[in-house]
Amino acid sequence: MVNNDDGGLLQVDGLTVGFGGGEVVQDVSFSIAAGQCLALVGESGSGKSVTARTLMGLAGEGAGVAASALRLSRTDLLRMRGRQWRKVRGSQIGFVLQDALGSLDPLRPVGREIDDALRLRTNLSRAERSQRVLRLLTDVGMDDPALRAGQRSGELSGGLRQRALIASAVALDPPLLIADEPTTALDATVQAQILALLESLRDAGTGILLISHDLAVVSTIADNVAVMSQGRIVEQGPSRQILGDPQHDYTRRLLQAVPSGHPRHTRLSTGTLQISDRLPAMDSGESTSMDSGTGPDGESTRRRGGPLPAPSRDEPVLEASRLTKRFPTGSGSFTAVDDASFSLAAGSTFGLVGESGSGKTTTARLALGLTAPDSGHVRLFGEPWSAVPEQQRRPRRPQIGAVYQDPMSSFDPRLTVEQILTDAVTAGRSLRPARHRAQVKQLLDLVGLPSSLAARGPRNLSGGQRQRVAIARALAPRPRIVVCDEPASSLDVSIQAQVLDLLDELQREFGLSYLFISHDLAVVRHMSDQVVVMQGGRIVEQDTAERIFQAPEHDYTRRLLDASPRLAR
Amino acid sequence: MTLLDSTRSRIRNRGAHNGNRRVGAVEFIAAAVALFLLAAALFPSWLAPYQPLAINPADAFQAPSPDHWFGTDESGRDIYSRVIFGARESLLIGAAATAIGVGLALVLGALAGLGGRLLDFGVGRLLEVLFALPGLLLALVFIAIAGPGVVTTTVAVGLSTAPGYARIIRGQIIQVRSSAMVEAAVVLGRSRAQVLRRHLLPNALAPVFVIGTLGVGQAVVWAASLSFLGLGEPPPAAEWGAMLSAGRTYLTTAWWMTFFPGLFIVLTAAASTVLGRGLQRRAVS
Repeated sequence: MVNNDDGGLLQVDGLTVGFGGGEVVQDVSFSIAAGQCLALVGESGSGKSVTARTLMGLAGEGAGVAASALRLSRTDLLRMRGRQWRKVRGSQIGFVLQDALGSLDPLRPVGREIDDALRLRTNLSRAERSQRVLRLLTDVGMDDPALRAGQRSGELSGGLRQRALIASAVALDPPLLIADEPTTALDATVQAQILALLESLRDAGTGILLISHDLAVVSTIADNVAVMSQGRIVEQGPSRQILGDPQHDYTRRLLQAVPSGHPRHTRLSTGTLQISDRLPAMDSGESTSMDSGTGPDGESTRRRGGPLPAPSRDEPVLEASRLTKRFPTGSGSFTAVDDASFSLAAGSTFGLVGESGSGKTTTARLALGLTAPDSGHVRLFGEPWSAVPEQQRRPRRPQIGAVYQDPMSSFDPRLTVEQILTDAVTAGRSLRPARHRAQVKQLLDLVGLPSSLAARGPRNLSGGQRQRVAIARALAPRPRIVVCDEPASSLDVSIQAQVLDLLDELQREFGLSYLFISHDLAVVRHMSDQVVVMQGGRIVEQDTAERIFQAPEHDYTRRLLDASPRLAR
Repeated sequence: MTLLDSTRSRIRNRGAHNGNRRVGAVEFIAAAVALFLLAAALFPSWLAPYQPLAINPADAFQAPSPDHWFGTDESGRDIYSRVIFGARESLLIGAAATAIGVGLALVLGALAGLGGRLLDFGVGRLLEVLFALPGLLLALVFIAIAGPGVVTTTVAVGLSTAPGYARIIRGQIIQVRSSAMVEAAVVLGRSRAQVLRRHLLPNALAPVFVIGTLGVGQAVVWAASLSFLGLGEPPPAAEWGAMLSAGRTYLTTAWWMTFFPGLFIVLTAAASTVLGRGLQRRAVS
């Protein structure tokens, strides 16, 4: 009963997986041929990972799995029980997870990890196995395989770790490789290398099931795409067709949400209210607040819809000159930021791009006055900022706010949303919401959250809602500058789109200036007027967003741009 | 293959997480025991049929019977009544000693966690010296200096548990101090005092209450040990450790004199441990 319609390697027909009450995967069908890559695309909770796990017999305890066919070449996966699965895993299906650090044993050298599979499943001698391990490591592009084989996962960089994991997954030469978000946590250049590696495996005849929420990644490597939403496949076909001419609404929304070369201020999300629709509700409130048209110093900072006041446009709101920051290490010191100068103009966005370790976050901390520079200085609204003691900075802190990548850790876990915002509104004088309820409600309105969420703790919010609360908190003291450190990086693409849109609306509404940090070039391009590219603590290129992305001058910028996957339609 | 194991354990962890808040049978029993002990400490005369010090030589060395549930001692005193009346003393010593330990630890921990590098170094070395001595020995040294008695016993036990709590508090403070939550508060323009009051202390202290609950049981055992050595309440008093000590002489003929006070010490320690662990599990999830 081999299904040969399309050289079928994997055949899934009418797969349904349920846990207790609900079905998380419903009637999912697809097939993969040898040497072909199918991408399963969707947002968190759409059922893609459960589908992948089910194929490995790892749906979990209490999962009800049903399908009219679930076949891997000649093997009927539906009839697999317990021990039989072990013969399939590794030798028939290789599995690569997003979290390479968690998937590799931190106490054993990666060579041993890979050797495990060979030892258990083949009759190779010790010497043959070690040869094989070295060849696998070479195949996945490790520079010095003998050295790497002896290192533990903690000693490897993210990219090398992911390569080691892929090497262990393909050690037994499985005909099918399942890769669950294999590049999500990686820098652009490393991501490009991993994708190239997967591509070469595919070209060598391995069937690949790629699971990703990132359409740009998918478009570079997948032959076919299946779009999942709420447990169902809503659309499926060749990638060119799905990405170029999507038929289903959901697919279109996903595609639109990808920030790629839309002109600045183009909305990425649909369905949410525009800020101007929310504002009337605010006007009717008692209101002290945000839409009174005055800044903290009483001077007009914005005019709705109109241009910003002229004077503030010329003079930079934040100026960094020749900033250098070193951190002591075991021997000597590490220079996190090296002679960085830039200035942020009022009402504009200054994008800061670079890979991890390039000094972006340290730069943000210097701008916020959380770390003192070793040399150079930061000026805020023309006044010294980094050079004065914290006591003098404190009264001016309301002028500059911050939004972080992980809002959860920036909230006190004991407080509710209402208390968090009350604390922000009252400058820490009170947590009792009664007298400030109107202001808290305004803040929630402003970021598009229903006031019914006020009583919840941050743990009980979704990632997008949490980030909105974080934004609301940052705006409460009516800042004129907001430092955004990877504000949307941990979010799904459509949620990311909503958060980016919200930031954009708020900027125009209140004349905010953003220092916007991200490793994602497409996001930075979408948000920024000016862009700075950082590498190893140094600013390598600085220009308008348009020129950086159209005509990059520095090699590194060009490499970054080449590496970042673009949505090919 | 490790990646499969990690997936499996993740699934298993998820299952465990769901069961976290359920109150198990053991926890239920521990809570019942704790309530009973609390009632005994607050209203001993409701539960005890006899006076703890009432002597009745005719009834000496009675084995457990319907009249005397736990039997009688060498002077004919009812063991059950003495154990019930002893609860107050033991629990009070346990709670007070823990309070003293945590209080002292709070000062040391806060000094180390907030006072800058030099203070941290000083307190750290002091704690290491204290850790080098067994806790009970520390208590004995203190009693040797201050003389025996209930108050000294309590203070001694408190002192000897303080270093452990101090380390935990210091660690908590340092962890919370460098957290994103504190950074966010600083960015919002909060002063050190505000950050300390609103975020640092509450978040650093929450786990200490849990550990304190665990510690009460330990303190009761230590206080009983000191009484057993004759360093606590003087003899006729109904104190569990002293009763153990008194019964030791008659262990072969009247086992109940040692067994029941010992049983209550064990019950107290076990109940406080089970409840403490339960709290800990809930606090983490």
